Amino acid sequence: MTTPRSLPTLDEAREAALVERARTAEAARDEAFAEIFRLYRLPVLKLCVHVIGDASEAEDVVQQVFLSVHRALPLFRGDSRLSTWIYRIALRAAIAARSKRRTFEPLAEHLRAPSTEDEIQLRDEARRAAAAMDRLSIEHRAVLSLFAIDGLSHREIANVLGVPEGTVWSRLSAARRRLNDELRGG
Amino acid sequence: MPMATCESFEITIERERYQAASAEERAELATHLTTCDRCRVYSETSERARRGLAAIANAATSDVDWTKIEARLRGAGRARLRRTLILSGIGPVAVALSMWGLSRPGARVDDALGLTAIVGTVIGLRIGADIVRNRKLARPAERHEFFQAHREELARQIRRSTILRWVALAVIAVLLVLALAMPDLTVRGRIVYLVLAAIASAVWVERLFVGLPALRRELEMLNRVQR
Ligand SMILES: [Zn+2]
Repeated sequence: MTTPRSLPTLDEAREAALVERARTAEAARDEAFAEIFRLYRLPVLKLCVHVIGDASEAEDVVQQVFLSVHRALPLFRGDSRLSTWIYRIALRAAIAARSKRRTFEPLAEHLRAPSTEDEIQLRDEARRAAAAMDRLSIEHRAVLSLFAIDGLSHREIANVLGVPEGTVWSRLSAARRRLNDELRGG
Repeated sequence: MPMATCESFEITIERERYQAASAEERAELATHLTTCDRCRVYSETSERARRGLAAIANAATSDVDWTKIEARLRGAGRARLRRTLILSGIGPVAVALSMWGLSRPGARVDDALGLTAIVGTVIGLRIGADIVRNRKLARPAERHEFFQAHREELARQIRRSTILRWVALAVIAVLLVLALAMPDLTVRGRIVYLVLAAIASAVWVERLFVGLPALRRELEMLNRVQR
C-alpha cells in the first residue's frame, strides 16, 4: 500500500459507523481501531512533527495518542467529530512533549541530500523555516501545524481550536506574519 | 464600503492559498498585489516557508515503520494487561504465601492484612495514575477555545497536584508517628507502616520534583504569547 499524500476524505457518516462499531464487541472494537489508526496515523504524525519539532519524539507521541484513543474510544460520546477529538488528543500530547524537550534534532536533517539547484534552494528554505518556526509561540506553531496537514479543512481546524470559522484565518495570518518576521530577523 | 487594509488582504492571501476565497476576493487581491509590495512580500515569504516546512514534514514522515508502531501499540496493550494481572493477582498471592511461611502462627492474619494494605495502595496508585493520564489526554471536546481550556486544565492540575503533595506529606507524618510511636505494635506492624510511608514518600517526591515542575513548564510555555 502506498502512503496517501493527503488526508483520506472520511465523511461524518463513515466516522460515526466506525465509532458505533467500536462500541460493540471487543473484536469489532479492535478492528475499528485498526482502521482509525491507518486513516489518521499520518496526519497525526505530521501534526506532532510540526508542533514538537522533532521526528523521533513525534513517533513516540503518536503511539501514546493512539493508545489513548484505543482506551477512550468506548467513552467517546460523539459530541464532536471523531477526527476533531483525535487531533485534540494529538495536540495536547504534542504540546506536553514539546514542553518537556530540551534538545532537538534539527528537522531539516531528514531532507535527502539535494542534487539539483531547486533542491538546494528548497533545503535552504526548509532549514530557515524550521529554525524560524522553532522560535514561535506554541499557539502560532499549532495553527501553522494544523494548516500544514494536507486536506484538513479550515472548518475542521476551527473545530479543533474551538474558535469561529472566521477566526482561524486571522489566527493563521497572524502566525504567518510572525514567522515571516522571524525569517527576516534570523 | 470601507477600503480593505493590508491585514485583511493577508487573510485573503491565506484563504486563496487554501482554496477558500471567492472569485470576487481573488480578483480584488490580484489587483491589490499589483500595487502593494508589502502584501507581495508577505505572500512570497510565507509561501516559501510553507513549502519548506511541508518538505520537511514529508521527509520526516516518509520512512516511518508503521508496522513497528502498530506492533508496539499491540504490545503496549498486552504488556499493560500482563502488568495489571501480575500486580493485582499473582504478586500479592506470591508475597502473601512467602510471608505466611515466615509469620508466626498468631500473627498471620495481621501480616496478611498489612500486605493487603500495601499491595492495594500500589495497585490503586497505578490504576489512578493511568486513569488520570488518559482522562487528561482524551477528555471530551470543550466548548471553549482550545488553548484557553488547556491553560485552565493545567492550572487545575497544578492545584490538584499541590494538594496531593500536601496530603502525601500529611500521610507520611501520620504513618511515621504510627510506626515509631505506637507502643504495643509488632515489628511486622511497624514495617508495614514504614513501607506505606515509603510509598507516600514516593508520591510526594514524584509530585514535587517531576509532576509539578512538568505541569508548570507546560503552563509557562502556553502563557508565552506573541502577537
Ligand atoms: Zn497590501
